[in-house]
Amino acid sequence: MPDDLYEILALGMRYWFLLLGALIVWRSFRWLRKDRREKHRRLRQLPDAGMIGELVVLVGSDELPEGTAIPVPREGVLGFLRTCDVVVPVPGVAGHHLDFTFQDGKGLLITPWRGQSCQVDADELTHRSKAAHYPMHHGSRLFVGDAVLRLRLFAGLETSAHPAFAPDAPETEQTPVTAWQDTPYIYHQHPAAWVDTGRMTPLDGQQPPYAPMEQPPCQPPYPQAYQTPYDPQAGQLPYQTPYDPQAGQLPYQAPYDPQAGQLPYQTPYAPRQDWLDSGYPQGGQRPVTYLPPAGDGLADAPEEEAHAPADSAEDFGQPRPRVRHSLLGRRNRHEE
Amino acid sequence: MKNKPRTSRRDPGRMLIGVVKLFYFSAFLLLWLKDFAWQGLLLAVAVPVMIHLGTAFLPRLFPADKLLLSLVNFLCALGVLVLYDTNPSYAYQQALYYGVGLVCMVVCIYLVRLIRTWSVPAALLIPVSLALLALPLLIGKETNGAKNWFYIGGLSVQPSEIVKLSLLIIISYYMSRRKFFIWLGFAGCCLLLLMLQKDLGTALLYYGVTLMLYYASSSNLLMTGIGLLGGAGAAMVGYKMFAHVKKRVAIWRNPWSDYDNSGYQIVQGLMAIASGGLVGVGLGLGSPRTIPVYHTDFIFAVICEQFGVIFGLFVLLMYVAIIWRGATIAMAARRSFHGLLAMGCTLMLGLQTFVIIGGVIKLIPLTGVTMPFVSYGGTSLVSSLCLAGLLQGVASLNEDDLDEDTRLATMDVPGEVEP
Repeated sequence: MPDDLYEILALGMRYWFLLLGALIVWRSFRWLRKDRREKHRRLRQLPDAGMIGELVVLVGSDELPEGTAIPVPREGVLGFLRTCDVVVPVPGVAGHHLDFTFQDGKGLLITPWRGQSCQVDADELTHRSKAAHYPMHHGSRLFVGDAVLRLRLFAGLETSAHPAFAPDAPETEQTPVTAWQDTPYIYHQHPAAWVDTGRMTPLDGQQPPYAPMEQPPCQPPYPQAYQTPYDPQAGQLPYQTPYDPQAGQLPYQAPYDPQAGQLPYQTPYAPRQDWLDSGYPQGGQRPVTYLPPAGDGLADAPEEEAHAPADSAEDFGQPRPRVRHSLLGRRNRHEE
Repeated sequence: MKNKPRTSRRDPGRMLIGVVKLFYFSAFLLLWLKDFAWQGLLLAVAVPVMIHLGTAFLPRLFPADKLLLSLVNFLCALGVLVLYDTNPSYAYQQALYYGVGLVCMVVCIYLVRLIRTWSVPAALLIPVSLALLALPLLIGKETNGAKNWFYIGGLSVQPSEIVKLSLLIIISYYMSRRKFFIWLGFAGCCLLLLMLQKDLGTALLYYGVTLMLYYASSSNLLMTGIGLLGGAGAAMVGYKMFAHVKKRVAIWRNPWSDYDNSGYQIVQGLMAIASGGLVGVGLGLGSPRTIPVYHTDFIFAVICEQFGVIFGLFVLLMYVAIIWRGATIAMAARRSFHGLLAMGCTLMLGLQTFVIIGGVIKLIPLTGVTMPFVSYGGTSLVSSLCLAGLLQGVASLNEDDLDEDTRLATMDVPGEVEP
């Protein structure tokens, strides 16, 4: 093409390129703004997005009253500073006290910062502790400073069997199960059958009159009933109810002795009648498979003695389903 | 038309990608009309096809961020276009590296998606990165006062561009694991090696990104301030020790004092921007080749000359959009490593853009870094696309997590009572 003609063409095309450049920038920022609005809308619909559960305050402070539910992200830092992911303004809690991370199939792993310590249920943790050995599960309690927090996982998260129940089983045989999927396994038999019959021997030398568990009971949930309030200051062992055959308790309940390798929370459980009437733990549906065997003494056991008092107003019977509002069948932006 | 799905009409990327393809089709067609060389016609078809593949095909493999893909592809193709106009042989090589970079980007996306535990890769990358950075000191060749290149079989390699990626992976991983001394030691060793190579621009990038990433991971203002003071002190020491640093600062302060010698490059760059005016002199016109290293450091001046200052501003806004998008991806990441990695990639791209464009327009002293995605250079283009790939990988994981959240929130939980 002749140079002068090309020059005229190129000079004219300048405005065309400018127009296209402006269009590209305009569309890009419009897209960004639209995605921002979309993100806010989705967050309104799914306020629990990115969270794995809540830490419910059992013992707090004036700034953090009991019953407060603190959302827990998948990973983060717990401390009293505002910059922490989980802020616990309670005496004894350091600015950055501990790291936590949720691992699918394991639970919430806790690693205190250097110089800090905390306690998960009965296990004292320091920054040298192997976090993977002391995972928090649904219903686990975290003692940090003067605060006592209890973990409530959201429904559907993968958790594994509590390690105390299957210490000898190869890890590969443990199939991660969701918290709520475990519920029928737990409640379709008498809770007293939760002991590992391979490791625990009934006092009278007889096997319990229940069918052995098909699968080790997994947490969560642990009904509040069989959790004796734990007081670390009193040197009390967790969930340990002394055996008293006169009180109508179950026969194969050995006192907890950690040195002997026994299991920690094998306290007999008697379901409260009002829970059964209200359909606990299925939330309105009576568990049809729950059939307490006759002659186990539970029927005669006084209600006050058959269960430990609830230590929290919160119901930890089953994981809380995530909050969601109307999704209206929206799809993500890449499918649009 | 009534049966057309509603979602397809609402795709915000369709028009953007269409405009990008139209831009390059018309631009290469115009250049073809200049001399009727068949390469121009080939590029007029090939570049829009590559953009289409990059923006429409890749999202079928994984949930990719189409906006990021569109902008990155636009900038890469802009580099090819400007190089084709100024020096076609550079453009062909750049187009080749563009294709290689796209493949590397996909590899990076899959790496981020597939690797669950980064402890072993991060630990392995430390010695490999340090060895790579030390290579130019042993077998390298000094270019423009810096010894940051080495040659293998006729192929020139700038290892600091490759180590940029491993630096981000290593410091993001160890920061997320709170292994303070490991990432600090690694970053310190990298800076030391870069100072020995006299590659101060890259050293500035490494230092800036590490410091900002540290602040992002810890929110520790005191330590960040101490790091900033340390950097300022090191800059002062560098200014006193290295003659070429003093020279660059002097040129920056007054390039016209020595305009036909040391200040020639920056003066020519400023004159090119000024001669372009608001709307440019026109594609294929002007005299961009009078600017020294017009194809790498000063490519922004060439863009401003040919397309105008307003278009240059649009290019800057595209970088702003990329940074905005990157920060959004980092903030939405569910794992601290992924968040830091995305933030690191964003900071690296943003800081590099600021350093080179600031140098070209005489906002800050000129340092020898490339303009991400646009400048000529195989290692630079591939590493920039890898950075975009890491960012894309985190974005796709975020999408997976969001889908999982939606699934969990809409699943039927036994016994759940409808509110």
